[in-house]
This record gives sequence, C-alpha cells and structure tokens, in this order.
Amino acid sequence: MSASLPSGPFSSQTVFSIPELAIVIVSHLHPPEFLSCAQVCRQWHEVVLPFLWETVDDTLYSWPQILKHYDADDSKGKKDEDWLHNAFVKHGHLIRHLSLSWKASIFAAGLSGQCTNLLSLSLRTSVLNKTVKESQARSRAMSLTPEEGGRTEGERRQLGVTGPLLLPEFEGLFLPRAAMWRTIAEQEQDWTTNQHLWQLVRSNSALRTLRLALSEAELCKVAKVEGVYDILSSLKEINYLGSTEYAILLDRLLERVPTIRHVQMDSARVGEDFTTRTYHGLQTLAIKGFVDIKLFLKLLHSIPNLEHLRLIAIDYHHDEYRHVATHLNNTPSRLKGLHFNIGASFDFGKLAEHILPWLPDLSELTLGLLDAVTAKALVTYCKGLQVFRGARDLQSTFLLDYAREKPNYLEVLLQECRQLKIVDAICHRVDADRLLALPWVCHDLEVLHVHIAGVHQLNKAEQKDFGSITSRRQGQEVQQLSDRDLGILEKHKRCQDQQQKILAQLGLMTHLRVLDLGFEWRKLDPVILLAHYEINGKKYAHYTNPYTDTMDLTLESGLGQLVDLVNLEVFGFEGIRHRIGAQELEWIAVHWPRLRVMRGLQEDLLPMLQPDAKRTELRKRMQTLRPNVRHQSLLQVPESY
Amino acid sequence: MSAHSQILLTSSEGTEFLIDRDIADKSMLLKCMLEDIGEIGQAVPLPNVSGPILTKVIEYCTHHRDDPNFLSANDDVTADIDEWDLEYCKVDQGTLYELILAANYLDIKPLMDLTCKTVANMIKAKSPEEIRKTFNITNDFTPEEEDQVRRENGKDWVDEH
Repeated sequence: MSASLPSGPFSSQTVFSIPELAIVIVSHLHPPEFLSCAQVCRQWHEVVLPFLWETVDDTLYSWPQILKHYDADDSKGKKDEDWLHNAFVKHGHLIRHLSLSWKASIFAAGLSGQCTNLLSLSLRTSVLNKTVKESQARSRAMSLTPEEGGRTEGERRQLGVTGPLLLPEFEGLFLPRAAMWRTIAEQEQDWTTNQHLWQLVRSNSALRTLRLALSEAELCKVAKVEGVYDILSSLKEINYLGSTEYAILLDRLLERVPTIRHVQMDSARVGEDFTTRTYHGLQTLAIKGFVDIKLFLKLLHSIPNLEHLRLIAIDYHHDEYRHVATHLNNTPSRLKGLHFNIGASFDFGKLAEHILPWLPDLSELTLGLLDAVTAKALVTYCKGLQVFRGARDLQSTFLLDYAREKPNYLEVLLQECRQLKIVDAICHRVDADRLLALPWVCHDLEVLHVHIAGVHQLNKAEQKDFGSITSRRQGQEVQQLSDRDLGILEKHKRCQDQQQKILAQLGLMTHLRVLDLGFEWRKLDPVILLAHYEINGKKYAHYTNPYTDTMDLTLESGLGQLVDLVNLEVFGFEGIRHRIGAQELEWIAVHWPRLRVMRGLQEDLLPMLQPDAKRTELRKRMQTLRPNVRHQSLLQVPESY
Repeated sequence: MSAHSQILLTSSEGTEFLIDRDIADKSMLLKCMLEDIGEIGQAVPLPNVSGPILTKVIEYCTHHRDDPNFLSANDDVTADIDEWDLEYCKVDQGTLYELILAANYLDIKPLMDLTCKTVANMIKAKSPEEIRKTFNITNDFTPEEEDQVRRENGKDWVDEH
C-alpha cells in the first residue's frame, strides 16, 4: 500500500465524515482497535465511541481484571469503584448489547440509570466471579465466632437479609436469599443488586432479547412469579427469553407476553390447563432437558406455529406415544426442525414409527445415530428434509469410536432425499460399500461433513509387497509375477476402483461448498497412557493411529473426479490416513479457486505430540501455492460451517 | 431488451463510457434507474464520479462480471481478500477514498466492502500515533483529553494488569 499523502480534497476525513461509510469501515475492526481509533482525533472519537460501547461483555478484554480489583483499597490509580460507576453513567446510553456476569457490574449498570437503550441483556451466572476483597472479607466473616460478632452458619442460613425497596412495585416481589456461604454484608448487597437487575430490565422498554442465565439463588428469590410476567409484559418488543432457574411457566409466559417468539428453558414447565389453549406466537423452543412424551405432544398441539423444537431427548416412559393421533387431534404438526442433543437415543424406533409420520414439514433434524428404521421413516414421511445434523455439542472422538461400532444409515438420506442441502454429521460413519449401493440424488448438497469409512485397503504386508512389485516394474526388470503378486495387484485395483467410484459420486455434487471427510482422530493411547518416550531430550506421548479404512484422496485413486466442485470453499481430511502429496496439492490449488480453508495440514495443537515433519512440509507447500487458504481444525470452527 | 444492450455513462468531466448492460447492473443505482426508465438512448450523467475513478469501477465490475455470488460474496467479514481484489486495491489513498465514495454513490456493495475492508486493514494493529501517520491526521486532542479518552474507555483494552 502506498503511503503517499492524500491527494486532492479526498482525505480520510471526507470518508469518516459520512456515517454510513464509517460504519462499514469500523465493522471490519475489533474492540481493541476501536480504542486506538477513538484516540486518533476528535472526529474519529465521535464516530468510533458508539461502536466501542455498543457491546459490553464483562467477561472479555480487561473487564475481569478491572472487576476483580475494583473495590481494592490500594487500587493505585487503576480502575476503581468510581471508574466502574462512571463508565456506565457516561457511556450507558451507547450500550445496545449488555452481557453481565459480575454482581458489581450488574449493580453499577443498574444504579447508573443510563443503560436504557439496550436491545439485548444477558445476565449470566456470577458464582465464580468474586473480587479479591470479597474473597478476603468472606473468609474473615466466616471465621468470626458469635462472641466476636459473627454469626453461625445456621443463623446465616435462616436469616435472609433484606434492605430498602428501590421501587414500590417491588413490594412483595422478592424474598431474601438466605445462603450460609454469603456474609450478612454480602446478602444486603445482593438484595440491592437484585433490585437493580430488575430495574435494569424494566427500564429497557425496547429490549428484544433477555437471557436470565443466572440462578435465582445467586441474588434473591422471586416470591411472586406473576411480578416477573408483569415486568416482561411491559417490554413491548421482547421476543426472546432465555431462563434457567426462574420458575416461569411456559403457558403463563406466552399468555402474558404474546410478543415472545423464542424461548429457551432449563426444563419445560407448564401449568395444569396447558392444553386447553393454543399459543400462536412461539416459533422456537429450546429445552435443556428430557421432555416427557406426553408433554412433547402437548407442545406440538398447543403451539401450532412452532418451527423449531430443541431438547435433549424424548422420554418415552409413558405409553402415550401410541396415541399421537389423539393428542394431535388428527392434525399433523407443522414443525420444521426437531433437534435432539443426545449422542444416541435408544428409542427402539418410536420416533420413526410414531412421531415422524406426523411431521410432514420437517426439513431439519438433529440426531445422534441414524438407525435403519429412522432413516427409512425420514425418507418416507419427511420428503422435504434439507438439513441433517449430528448432535453438535457431543462431537468427540468417543462418539466417533462409538459410532464405528454401531450401524449407521446416513447414506440412505444421500440416496433418497432430493432436497438435502446440509449434512453436518462428522461423527457419523458412513460405510463405503453401502454408500455405493445406490446413486445419490441430493444434487443440491452444499455442505457435507461425514466420515467415510470401510474403504478397502491393502494391509501392511500387502502394501509392502505392492511397493516392491511396482518398483521392480519401474526398473524394467524382466520378471515373473507370482500368484501372490498377481493377487495383490488385483486387490490394489479393487481398492482403487472403490475409491474412484466414491469420488465419482462426490464429483457430481457440484454445489458443494464444504466437504469434510474426517476429523481429528487422535487421542492418548489408553494402553500406554503413562508411557512417554523421548527424542533429543523432548518428551512425547503415544497417540493412537488414524483409522486405516479411509480414503487415499490421491490423484491415482480418483481425486481428479472432483474437478467440477468449483464452488468448494472448505476441504477437510482430518483423521483420514490420506496419501495426499505435493502433486495433489498442486491439483487442488489449480482446480478449486474458491478454496479458503483446509483441514488436515494445520499445525498440531495436541499436547506432547511429536511434530509431523511431512505434514509441516505439505502445509508449507500449500501455503506457497495458495497463501490465502487458511489451515485449521474442524474442532476450532464455530457455528457457521 | 436484448441481453447485450449497452449503456452510455458520462463522468464528471464529461468523458463518455460505453459499457455492457450487465456490467452497469452491478450498480444498484444504475440497475434501478434503467429498470425504471427502460432504454433511454442517451448518456447517464454521473456528476459525482471522475473519469479515472469510473474506469477503476468498471474494471472491478468487469472482473466480477460472471461472479454468481456477487452480492453475497462478502457476507463473511472475516474472509480474506482474494488476490485480484488485493492487487486492485493497491492504489494511493486519495484514489481509495474516491473509490469508496463512488461505490457508495453507485451502490455497489461488494466494492464498498472491499475498499472499506482495505481501509480497516490499514488501521489494524496500529497505535493511535501510527494511525495518524498513516492517514495524515493532525491530533486535535489536548494531552489531558487524550489521556481521559484512554482512561474512560479502559486503557490497554486487551490486557490490563
């Protein structure tokens, strides 16, 4: 970039003086850079300040350090209570997204009265966040005997401490929380902080998103949950509520706060007369728990516009699954997405047999293992399936090992679901032979994360012999091939044929943007967990080997058949014992112009792993060929892919 | 209207540019204008865009002519800039700002994103003083004010000890 002086009337000042341009530029920067920009000059300060304070999360950047020491007596000119207070007083009106997990920052934000333009507010658990002084005071107070003016644990437990009310509306709404592990002074503080918290919620009438992800035991209990509905219903724009321990009933909430579209709860709580009404507003519901089959069906019936339902699993204890038609009043549900966050659910086909027939609009399913019955039911009843995901939170080598033992029928979807766009199930093992049994029909496929295994390979001894046969041939030696030699050549050809066919299938999926065929497989070898070895004074641990029945991904085995995947942005082959070499990288560099991410050659991050020289060499080669391709592991990738 | 029709544009100095309709359509301003009034048969005046800048803009739109993801290509703000685009942005700062203003005026979002990202990359990992040098900006803060800005916003934002 030339550093020449701005020419003519067009300087950076011109650009920064047009707000919509400044916004685009600043959107490419991060908070630490905002601060540098704010110090440049008055104009930049004015432009950048709203960005700097737009999002405040007290777990990021210097916030934890500031909060940990804010009440220290010897803060020596560092951030103190005044700073914390002034920060919210002066900049509170700029904050649009506020995420708090320190009681001190909840207190300061509420007390300032300035944080009234929030669009989202997250209040997260504060149990681990204590200032140094708080920790000291606590241990002092705990060790005071009653004679010294302290209280016993029992007294602390029984006597919850209250204080003055900040608002008359709060009368009778809260109960002091009597916690033996909080000192009296801390409990007084909690009483006040709790009111500031609710005051903060109340004073943001444009709030759209509220996450109450702290337990009510952390500050004060809610005595009258009606009071919470009252406060929420005064927020005219609110459409997302996430709540953990507050005893909110879903139906009461939907009735009192009809703007709500999305709810996340720890467990599904509903009132007794739940089924007598229908609730038309709710679109997504996430429950971090098991849901009884009866309640599951009630939810489908009473919330007719529900699009996505996320839960750990259905609890089929009741026999009610036999009476789905009655519960749904013979009307199929319009549910679009059903998401189970469990590795494998042992429902013995109940989902397939009883539930899926009633979900004709289902286009997204998240599920651990896909057994034969469920796969068959999906292609029979849910013809519009577009997205299939494995349970993301449970992506692990454990699950991969487990999945290898169990038959999985993911290939059925590739072979029968025409509308399939995304298969995000890297822990799902697809068997190579079954994969080839039928042609794939999902020509719109854009994302495929799947572990293709069961690929035929020469064993170690055969591999060695194969090597010597080919080198003899190259040496032009007149030779007599033994029957065993011929057998090995024949088997090698069969193996290569199988891979050719798989790659030919993949090559037809020309909309593919993301293709991952494996993920980080290595873990500490359980047999020799403790045995380390040393090379040049450095200690290394033994890791297990990659699976052997995976694809070669060489040009010889048919990589060239992926030539039409010109839209490919991500290519991954972690956990595959691939034989990709310089030749293959050159081919990739030329044929996939949109490639941005490669997974499989990145720097290893596992502890005590002996560096892999070949992998490093290949990565360097690729970096020379295509400097703009990033090398990273699938495990580091957040949501979007 | 034939797919190969052409459009005449006039830059601020009065220079005329004859371009293909599909190139002009990359600009939302021109696209809407042409859809509204149809074939006009006379030059579209662009009084806010100079000839050299219009040349650069046309160069960009021509290169990305057949880009199917033209409007969604830059949705991923963290994506790296591709090689051709990187070369394209190697211009002096004055030109870069004029390109931003032109992209804004003509409403060509990908070009706007590209040029703004280029400016953002010139800011990254720099101290306030380095930023001032890069952009030739005079510091109009008093030392006290500058110190106050630093303090109020949590100085050393990244790692405070």
